[in-house]
Amino acid sequence: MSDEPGRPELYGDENVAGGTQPSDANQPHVVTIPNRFARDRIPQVIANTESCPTGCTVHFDLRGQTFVTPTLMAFLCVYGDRLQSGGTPVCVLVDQQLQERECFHYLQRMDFFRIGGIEELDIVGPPHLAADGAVPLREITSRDWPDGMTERLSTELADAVLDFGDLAKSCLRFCFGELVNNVVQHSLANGFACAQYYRNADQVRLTIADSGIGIRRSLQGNPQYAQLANDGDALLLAIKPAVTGNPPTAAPYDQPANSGLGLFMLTEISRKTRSMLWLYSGDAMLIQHRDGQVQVRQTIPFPGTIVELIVNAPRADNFRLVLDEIYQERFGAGRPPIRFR
Amino acid sequence: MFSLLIQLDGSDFLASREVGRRLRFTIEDALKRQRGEEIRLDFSAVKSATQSCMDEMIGVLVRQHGEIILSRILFDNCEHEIRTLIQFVISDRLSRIPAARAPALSSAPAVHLP
Repeated sequence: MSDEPGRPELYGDENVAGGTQPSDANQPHVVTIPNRFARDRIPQVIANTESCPTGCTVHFDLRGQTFVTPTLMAFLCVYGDRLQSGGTPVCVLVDQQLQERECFHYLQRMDFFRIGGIEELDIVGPPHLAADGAVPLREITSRDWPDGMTERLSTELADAVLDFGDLAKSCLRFCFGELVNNVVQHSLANGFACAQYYRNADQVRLTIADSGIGIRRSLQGNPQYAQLANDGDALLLAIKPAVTGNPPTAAPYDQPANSGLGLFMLTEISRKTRSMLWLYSGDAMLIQHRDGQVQVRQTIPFPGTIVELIVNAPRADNFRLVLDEIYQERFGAGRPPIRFR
Repeated sequence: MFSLLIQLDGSDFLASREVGRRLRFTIEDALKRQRGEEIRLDFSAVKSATQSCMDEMIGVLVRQHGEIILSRILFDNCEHEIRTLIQFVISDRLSRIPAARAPALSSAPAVHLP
């Protein structure tokens, strides 16, 4: 157990049953994390957690895990951080069996315990021998974000994916860089990011989660969108071109002035590379499927924003063509009088 | 012609608006010092970039000074993607400048110097 106040603890009491337990203030509130945790399970975990009585400690039960996703790690870190800053203590439940599985060592290798500020137990069992590239969990701070860090993290991701060609790596760096920029500039809070390359599927999963103001409130910083009625409308608006909460007219010249094209371009790149983009902010989820179809649905509110991007490696190799197409579709054949050599 | 190497220490990737803003200040400083002369921006050290960074570096420069500033800049050694992003952010910023401040986009293709 940790002595540091506000620090999550790794908790190994095998007598605590799995599942969401009815609890009172004197007992831990156990929330089972489903195995092979996918984005669709997040609302249920939030709902189970929010039913925790005031003053109760939340125990996220990881004991059933055999396969851990970047989304699970980023979500638990940001959500646990949020709960703790609101005064709710958080623990992570593990047991001997979990510690002997590869996925536990994967959690270690991805810095889940260190970044989440979770005390580690002595580790038993084999080390995780993943051959595929990964970017361990990283905390992104909206204040005092080190100069050049976005570039370094994005390059770390590209370098980790050895099988990707140069253009696919450029595509990855572009997407990851824009997502990190969004957290640093718009969330007004900290976030967590990680990524994993899956060789069998030849795809990279990037997840970035923050506990910030969310997309609707961010857009409402622009008087043009001050009356946005709901989070679903905000998500649909955010993926359109030239939509920003920080319009150039409002920004002093020496301060960053957004063009509202970052998320639009991500959406377009995702569509044209037949990748998948998922956004969860406030009480709405937006998914752009591989065929480009966009769906929005209302769900349980998440206090912040989570983005998952699943990049289709072979298609990302068309990055050059994709950028050209996006330009053509937005501006046509005309070119400004730029001199290149 | 004065040349400016566009470079970020330790990286061939330009991502953040903060980096773009710093590079824009360097470009503006060079344009001031050259007093109306042309400057060459050498992108040979840049392999890829985000739209946000390029917008902050080049797009905002055009937003502030108008299309006329492009007559003083030669973009050199640009990778294909960098070239497309430069065209993208400039077209975007010019499309938002009221007609009284800037002429409409030329339909002519980009000029390539020998």
